[in-house]
Amino acid sequence: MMNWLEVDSVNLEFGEKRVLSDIYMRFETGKVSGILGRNGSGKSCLLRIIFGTLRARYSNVRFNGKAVSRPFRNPEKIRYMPQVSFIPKYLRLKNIFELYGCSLPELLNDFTEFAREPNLPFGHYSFGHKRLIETWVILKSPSEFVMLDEPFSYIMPLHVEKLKQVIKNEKSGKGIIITDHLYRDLLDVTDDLYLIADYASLTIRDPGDLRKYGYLA
Amino acid sequence: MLRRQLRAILIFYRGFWVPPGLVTLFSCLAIFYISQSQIRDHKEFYGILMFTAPFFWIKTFTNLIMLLYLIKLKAHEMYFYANLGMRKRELLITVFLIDYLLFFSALFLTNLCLKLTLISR
Repeated sequence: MMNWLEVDSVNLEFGEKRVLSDIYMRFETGKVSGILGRNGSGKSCLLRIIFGTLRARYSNVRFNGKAVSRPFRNPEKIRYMPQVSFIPKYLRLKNIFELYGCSLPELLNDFTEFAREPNLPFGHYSFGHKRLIETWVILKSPSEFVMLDEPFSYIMPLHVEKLKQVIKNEKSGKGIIITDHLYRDLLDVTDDLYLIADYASLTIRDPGDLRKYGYLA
Repeated sequence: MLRRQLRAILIFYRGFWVPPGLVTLFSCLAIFYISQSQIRDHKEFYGILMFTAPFFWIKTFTNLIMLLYLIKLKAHEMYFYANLGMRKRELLITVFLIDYLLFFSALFLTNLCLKLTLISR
């Protein structure tokens, strides 16, 4: 069964500064959707608005047509990986994976370097490894939609390739929403693509549109 | 789901329990020694509540500082708990209720110890 998530009429301002205006996007399970935009265009804010941790002046988030005011209250519906590291440093991998309902052996199987020290406290890993673990935990958690804010940044190219494969495999059961500046990697995995430019959302049908709308030089 | 959230609350408390725990320990020890030095006989002892007020306010003051610390410096970690379906406000209220529960439990034990010490004199 296909589920969909819509975000509609998003208007966000910080004081006098307009950030987002009349944004509409639709995401579906079984698809990877990408959101591109320049620095400060409001991509991360939009993800936080969808998640429900940032209040916009106006926004409407709907799951299968039904409006939800605080989507994060339903982790089985949506999960979000922010740009910043968010897992407490003192937690061990086993506990993190248990809490989020993911399989640790699966990670150890796909990324063998973790198998050497599989249960260290999270803070003991390098920044790149932390990022990979966080992406994995959100991506693999049993949720209809997952939002990943810059999953490819800070991760070494070898891991980015593997991660892209995991994303492609994972999309069969969920809707995946990704925003990242590494647009080539993003284009490799996305089925739908949006661009936020001049506060509004634009549907990108052809990578050439990115140049047309001024995202690429 | 509820079990998972309870676990998450304990995990959150684990991240900062040491300073409030030390304040509780200091308060109990101080109340114990002050009470002991001021009361000579168990017949004069009406419970430690008469010495508790200043320590309750010290506890409240340090908890407010801790709250500011959590809001400012642990803001990123809140996403970890939000992903488990928890609101920031309910998380903070719950952990501070737990902390006060531990504080009053420790006071109760101090009261009991003091009473036994005074009786055995």
